[in-house]
Amino acid sequence: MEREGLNASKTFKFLSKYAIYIVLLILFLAMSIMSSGFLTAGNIINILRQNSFVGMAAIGMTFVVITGGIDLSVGAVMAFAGMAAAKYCVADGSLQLPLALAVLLGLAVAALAGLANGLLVTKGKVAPFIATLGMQTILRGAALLLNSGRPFIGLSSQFANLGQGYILGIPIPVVAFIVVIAAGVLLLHFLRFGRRVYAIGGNEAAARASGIMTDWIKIWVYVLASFFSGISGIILSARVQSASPISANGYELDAVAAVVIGGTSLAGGIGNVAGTIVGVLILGIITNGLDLLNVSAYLQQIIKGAIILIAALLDRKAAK
Amino acid sequence: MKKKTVKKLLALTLTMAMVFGIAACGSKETEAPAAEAPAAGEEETEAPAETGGAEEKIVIAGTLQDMSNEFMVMLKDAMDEKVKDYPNVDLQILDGEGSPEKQVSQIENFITQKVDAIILCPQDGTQLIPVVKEAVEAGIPVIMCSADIDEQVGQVLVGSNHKDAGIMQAEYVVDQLGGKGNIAYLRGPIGHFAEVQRFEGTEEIFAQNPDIKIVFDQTGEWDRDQGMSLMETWLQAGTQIDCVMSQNDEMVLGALTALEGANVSADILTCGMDAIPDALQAIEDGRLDATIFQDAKGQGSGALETAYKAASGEDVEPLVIPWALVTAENVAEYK
Repeated sequence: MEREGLNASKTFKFLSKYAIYIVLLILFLAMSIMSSGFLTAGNIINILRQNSFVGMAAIGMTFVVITGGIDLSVGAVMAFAGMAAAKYCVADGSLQLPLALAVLLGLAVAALAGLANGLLVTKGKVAPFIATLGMQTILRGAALLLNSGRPFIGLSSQFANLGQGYILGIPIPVVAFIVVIAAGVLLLHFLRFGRRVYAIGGNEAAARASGIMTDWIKIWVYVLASFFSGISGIILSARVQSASPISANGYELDAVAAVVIGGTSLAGGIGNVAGTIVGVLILGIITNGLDLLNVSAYLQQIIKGAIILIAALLDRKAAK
Repeated sequence: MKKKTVKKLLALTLTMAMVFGIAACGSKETEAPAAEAPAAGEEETEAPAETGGAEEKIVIAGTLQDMSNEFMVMLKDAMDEKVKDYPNVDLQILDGEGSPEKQVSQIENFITQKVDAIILCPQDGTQLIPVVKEAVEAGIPVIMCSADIDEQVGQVLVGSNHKDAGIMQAEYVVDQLGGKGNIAYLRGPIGHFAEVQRFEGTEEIFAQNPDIKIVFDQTGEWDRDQGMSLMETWLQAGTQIDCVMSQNDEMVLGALTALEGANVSADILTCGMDAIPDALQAIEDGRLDATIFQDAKGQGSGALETAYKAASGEDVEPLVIPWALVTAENVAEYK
């Protein structure tokens, strides 16, 4: 008897630990059964490509959330970086720069925004929520200012290729997502940097006492989040051949949702890259499947919200 | 504790100074004088009465939905251009920032300031009714620009009827498809007045053509990226699609990129709305089939002219600015 009970609780523990993976699997199977168009190579590539943009931002967000912070500026960083790069890639524009230079410029402004976030949070001691909310507002305004509220259009085919091209048969956005994932895994799980990020999220005072330069690490974490978002934003504007100041609106919340569904604790100290990828895929598959099934837009919002809550609840149970 | 507060205040002041500094520099650098930075516009609100003065200045104040929307920028540009005809008019146009609540408080301020006329492009059809009523009752003429509120409380509309645009687009599609075919329909944000009214018109025409079927129907939030993603998804479903209809150009341009990616763009009729420059270019290049032209210039300058007349005590009539179908045949006239 006792043994059975032990087994049952073990099974439960196992199930809870992998709850989000199970949710993903169930969703995947359910969509495959319900929609004949779901499980095709073309559709799977679509899901990956469409979600690589939020995905890249979410990888950076994972670092921030593990330190106990949050970055609400990533959507605005995406739009601003996309516009900054595209400004110099208008096909018949007077201000053309070589593609690599324009992209570097976009990445540089993204990184600078991250640096400002990091400085505000560490040296300025502003709560991350407020610091990055302010940065979001400033960057949206700056993006609007860049072309007086208008998008940059008529972008060079070279630039467009960044979003629409393929490398070895894989769409470039997906390649970029994979690179960002690899960088994230390396930094968070294999280098000393990652251990320090966890240490800060677990107990910042203790981390500082043990000699970790906590401010320095946190600044880098915000730079990283903005940098990844910058990559995402530039490729996004290339994909749609238009850099709009209002693009990627609300992506920061999708990224936070993916990170939290993926089991990263908003309190900091807990989380990993794999979970975030699963979180991104869960959100992506729900949207894709419901669109394929042509579920009404009203109902979609209710279903999405419910699934986010269920995944989070399962995860909280597991954490106990 | 006190020291901290002082420090915080100092930091805040410095930040504000920096932000306004940047905004001011930025707006000077912008080439087009018409498209002032929103921040510059806000500064004006704080001291409008002083510029008004005791001379016979006519103050016309307005608020537009959201200055991050390209069409709103075009409306404002048209007004800024038209106001040059009236040297005694002091025009101040504010950014509603996509928020009906914000527009309500802006109009309340206009009423307190006793401006001579109000121009409003409302973000919402119902929430602004009480404040418009309040303005009209205070004797201030309210000119609606491009969009109306849901109830007639004495306002005067200068704009285009969005239902007519939906009718025009649907008639074109029915005609091109020979009265039979499957439609993928891209909507604006659910509940947005243009989303509702444009579809009303389309639905009316489709009801008379039972062989036209809407097989996919989803919101792309006016966004190009979402239009593209939806189209990619729909193409995977294996359902026959003969035409993509979109409630704006951004979404249909996204969908078009998806169709081109799948090499099926030649077989599918594509039709947008608004006639933004990118869409006109796409029509000229033979990629997009049609769009519906909404006359921002006519609406913006018409609204200002009507507001001026009303402020000068003239009786004013609603002004309907017609839509126009743009295809490869007449695209040159609109570029």
